[in-house]
Amino acid sequence: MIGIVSHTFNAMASPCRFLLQGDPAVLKDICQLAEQEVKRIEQKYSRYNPDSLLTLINNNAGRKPITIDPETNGLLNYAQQCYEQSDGLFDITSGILRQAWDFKSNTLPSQENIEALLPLINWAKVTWSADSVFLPDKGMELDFGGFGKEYAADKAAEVFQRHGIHHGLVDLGGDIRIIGDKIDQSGWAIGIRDPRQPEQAIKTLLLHQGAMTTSGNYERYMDINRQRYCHILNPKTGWPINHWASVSIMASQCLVAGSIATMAMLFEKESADWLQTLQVPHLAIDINGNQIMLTEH
Amino acid sequence: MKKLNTLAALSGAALSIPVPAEVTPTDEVISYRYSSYQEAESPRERTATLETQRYQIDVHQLAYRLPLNDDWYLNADLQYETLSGASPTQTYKNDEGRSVLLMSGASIEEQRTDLKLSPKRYFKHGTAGGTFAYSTENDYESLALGVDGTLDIFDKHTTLIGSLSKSVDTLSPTEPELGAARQAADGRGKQSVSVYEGISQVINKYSVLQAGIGYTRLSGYLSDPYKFQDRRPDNRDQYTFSANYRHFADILDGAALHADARLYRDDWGVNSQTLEVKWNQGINFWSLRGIFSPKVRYYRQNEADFYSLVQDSAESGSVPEFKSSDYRLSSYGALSFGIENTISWQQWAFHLDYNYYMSREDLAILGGTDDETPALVNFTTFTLGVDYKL
Repeated sequence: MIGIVSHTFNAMASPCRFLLQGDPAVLKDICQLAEQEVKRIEQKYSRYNPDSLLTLINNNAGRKPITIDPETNGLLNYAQQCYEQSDGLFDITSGILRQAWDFKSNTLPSQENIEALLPLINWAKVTWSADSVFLPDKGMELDFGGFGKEYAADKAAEVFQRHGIHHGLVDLGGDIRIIGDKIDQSGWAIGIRDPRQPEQAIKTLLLHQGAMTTSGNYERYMDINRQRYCHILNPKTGWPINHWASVSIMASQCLVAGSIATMAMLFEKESADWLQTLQVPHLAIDINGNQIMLTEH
Repeated sequence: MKKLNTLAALSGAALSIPVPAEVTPTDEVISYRYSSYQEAESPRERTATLETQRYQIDVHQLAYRLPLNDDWYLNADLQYETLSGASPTQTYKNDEGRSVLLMSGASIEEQRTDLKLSPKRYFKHGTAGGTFAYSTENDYESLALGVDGTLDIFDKHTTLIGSLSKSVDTLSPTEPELGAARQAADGRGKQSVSVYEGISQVINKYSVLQAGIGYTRLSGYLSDPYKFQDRRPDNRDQYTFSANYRHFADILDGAALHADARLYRDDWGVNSQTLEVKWNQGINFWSLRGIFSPKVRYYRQNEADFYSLVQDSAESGSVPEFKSSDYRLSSYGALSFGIENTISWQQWAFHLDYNYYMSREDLAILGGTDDETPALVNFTTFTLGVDYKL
């Protein structure tokens, strides 16, 4: 039985861990490097960090363009792809809706509140180039919450790979990226939460490579009059989606898996066919508990 | 409805996000080490004076590592050593052909302070660093400057390593009235210039090999002013070839074999070979992580061309230009055994190391001579340490 080294920490408002097989003396230092990489991304792109690049961009909305580096430009290009591929449903300017939706309050926002925010949601109006980004209207905000954690999982895994570590996984609050298979090639057992009982696994899959993320209606939500209002909001209406309880996606990159899972939630009932067409391995569970699944061939 | 190429479009966009520069460490770490170095007593039957006690050295080390900004990281080390005991001043053959060791009285009581600062800049494909070191003790002052760098190539599977350093030392022997050599050395200096070029290659997921060559030129006053009749050349060219192999193994909670070999030769005629093998074993228990590393090292060298235990004699008329009876220039071999232990818990790491070193003429195995080297030392070191991550 080969021991597994576990390294845990908190970042991006989530419990994070690295599970690895190898020389602990070597792994210890590389775990630090990988943790630092996650924290670097968090500090750079967190809305909540007053010193972050994202806060700087948002604070200058309607005022002036802000200089960006190649990494940020790459993420904005990626956001553009998400926007195009989702026909505008995956919009990184939609985070502003959280000003109306307080899931701890257990009360629904007023329609006026929501409608006041909708004009500020429009990724197509954002102008950016390789060197700068500009939000044209005061009050507009970028929010990388839709893919920051997934991106960080990929980057942390790459830190390990760059340092010659090939057996392990990165788990940032349930966004999983495999660094490499277990030494005996038995695969890493990854549980998918049961949306109705999130502490239990509805299915356990063995992953040898790639990434898996799950987008679920049980992460932040409120139940009012037996209706579930979850944190995944349609940027065009300002209201929560209401078809899938959870969508899990497997892809080679965590970033891609996460975006597809979110898009599938946003497409609601249309995504059953969409996921089939994409041929991406997935498990989608609707709010009535019906499952559709495609496993890896 | 949706485009078939969503997966391709997203994957392509994800892959084109540029990799940011190599991550600069962000940990701020403070650590302390105490080491005790104790030489074994010299054999009584081979000392001409009653003094058999050798050196006792206590070393206190304080290290502080901190990030300066996103790209720069600084290592700062302060070391304070106290040294007491006696050191061999001369070994010679007496009239019966037996080697005899003269010890200086237990008068040596010295302090030494070292300060070292090493800033390092991290780039996407490598690092560049510098070193400033200053060392002072009552009869010695040393200043060293260096630069070093690494460059990652072939997708980080190969790393080129290089360094260049220079040091300038100034001697001011204590109690110069005690000997002409001490007076002659007063104010003299010695310099060194070193260059190292190496390459580190990832062989497969379990093993890494590093090999390198080094050259050092020492010049200036290289004799030992505290030893009698110690006359060495003013230059010394040293060449090294070293190879270090690392192999990781999945035993218990991970293990690694470190095997290091080093070949050395210089133009004083000294050749040496070193072989060291160390096993690092990781074991996790409760919430602690332990790493236990037993090691064994073998070293041998043959004597310098001018090593001699024959005393200068007025009768023979001629004295050799160069001569030294320093045991470090003799033929000998040394074996050492040790174990290093580290236990980590949360922000803390505790260290306990033990090492035993023994040196003997016959351990040289090859190239030994009949000349005895009575000054050879055996010693034990203990190290206790603690690290705290802020």
